[in-house]
Amino acid sequence: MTDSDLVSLWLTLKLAGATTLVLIVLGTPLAWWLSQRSHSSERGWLRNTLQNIVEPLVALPLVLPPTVVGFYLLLAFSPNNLPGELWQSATGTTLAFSFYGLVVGSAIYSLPFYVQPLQVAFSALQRELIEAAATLGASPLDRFFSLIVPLCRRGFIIAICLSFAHTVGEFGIVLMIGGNLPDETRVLSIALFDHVEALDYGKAHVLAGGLLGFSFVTLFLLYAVDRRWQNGTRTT
Amino acid sequence: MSLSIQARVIREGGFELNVDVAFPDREVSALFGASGSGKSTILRLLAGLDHTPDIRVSFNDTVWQDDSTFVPPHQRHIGYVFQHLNLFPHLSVSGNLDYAETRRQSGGGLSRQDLLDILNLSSLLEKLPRQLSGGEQQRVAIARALLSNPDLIVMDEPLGSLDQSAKDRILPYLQRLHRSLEIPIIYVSHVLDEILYLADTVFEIADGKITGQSSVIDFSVSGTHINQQEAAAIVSCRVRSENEQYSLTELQFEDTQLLVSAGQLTNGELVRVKIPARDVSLSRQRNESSIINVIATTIAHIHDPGTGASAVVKLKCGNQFLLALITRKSLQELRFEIGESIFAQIKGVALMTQHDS
Repeated sequence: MTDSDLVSLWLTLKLAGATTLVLIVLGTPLAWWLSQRSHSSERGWLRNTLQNIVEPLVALPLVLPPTVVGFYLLLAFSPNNLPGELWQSATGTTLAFSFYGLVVGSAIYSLPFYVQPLQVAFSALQRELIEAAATLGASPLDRFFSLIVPLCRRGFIIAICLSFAHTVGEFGIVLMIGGNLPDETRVLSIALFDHVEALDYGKAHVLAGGLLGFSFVTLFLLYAVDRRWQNGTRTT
Repeated sequence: MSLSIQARVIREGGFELNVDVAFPDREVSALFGASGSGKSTILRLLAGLDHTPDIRVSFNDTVWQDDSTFVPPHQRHIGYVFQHLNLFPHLSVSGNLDYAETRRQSGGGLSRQDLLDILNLSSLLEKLPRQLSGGEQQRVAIARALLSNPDLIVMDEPLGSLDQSAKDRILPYLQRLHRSLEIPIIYVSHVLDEILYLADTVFEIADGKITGQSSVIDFSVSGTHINQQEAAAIVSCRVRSENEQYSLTELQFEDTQLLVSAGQLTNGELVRVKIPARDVSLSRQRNESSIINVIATTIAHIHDPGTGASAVVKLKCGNQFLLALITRKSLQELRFEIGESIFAQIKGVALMTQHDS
């Protein structure tokens, strides 16, 4: 591995880590909100309608070409448009072609990989367990950390691993909104593309094989953990 | 009155709940009614688990809910025992109890050790919920609810998911608890036997409305449920003396005596006794018989359903009543009449609860 590849590796891990953190903070409440369907048709109408709109929005990155998401993000990041303008006045830099721009793009693109497993886990929670905790004196926040997180740990692990691995494997969005700046936006998948374009297959093999190995090991461990928890410690 | 609820709730599908109840202090109040009559809804509103507008709930001068107030469930200090087993599956028995104990907001009440003793849980502490039987899980759930030192206990069909033998084993625990506690208990069930065993006051509920409120003694001998096979009269008696030769205790029942095989009672103490209707037979003469409890009564009412094999005769003895489940064939052949004096032969007398008053 060349020095520049090592820089790309570090950048990739940093991007995946930051994206996953952003998703934990923002995606968790979103997944919870989506999992709470109202059963009373009168009062829950507005909420259910909003959920009906937000749910497919969250899933959009699964079916859209990354270039579509990238194209719109590029427009949004432009200092001529409001989001980009706000960012520029706050930080003095542009979002496009920057590491932070990549984090925003990755978080949006990996959103379904984080939200969907968690939403499934939240929906499967037995409501009476949470109600029992409430009557035992646990506040909503207390219930979330003392009960919901441990009961949904399988969902959390799947969500975190999938969004991390998916961000590591991202290409299209990065190319659209990040370009190819060493130390800033040249992640592993871009570096691999460079090697292939330069017909340097030896270096390309190192990166491609490494990414393949990483993805396989991640999924292998994920399935192993999943099997173990299904066979035993989890009962709900 | 300590706990009261006024609610008029109309649910989708046309179900309407319309109640205005004040529950007595320091007693077991039972809500008795068929499934779907609104019993559980009342409990959920009491505990704040359903936030339905336009209802009023208050407890000991504190308003829990009205048009401008809603105290969330975790601030109401209610010990809630649910019908479905719902121990936290990722925690051991000990962990489940800790969950309640670390969140209790006031001292006092039964200690952890008291509860372990009363509910016989000491040997289960390290086990996970899925390693326990249904009855054991529900005992842990009851201990957990009480360990939060609640000001009020509500139980929603707590024996509903258990089989008969588990129910029979857990009922005495509930009764012991009741005697150890000084807080109101609201007990919901559609099973007559549980109500007769535990309740002090019975609220009957049908189609979302309270249709009757009476002491368990009055409740046991009136209403349509007296035709059920498990119907039984609950009567109040005073302990008179023990007959050590035969291990029997003599109870004063109105102006006559009943002999029961229960020891460790204090003279003069008031006790409640359950006399199942199917253990009472009727006779015009005082026969020589192996049955030791034969008392003179008057027929107060004959409840002949018109079909089926059996009918119920309500018997008056002083100011209290007994029930006798007899066949409709005997009813026809012996031509019993209201007001007639008759001997009740009582095969089974079960001591229920001790009372301090």
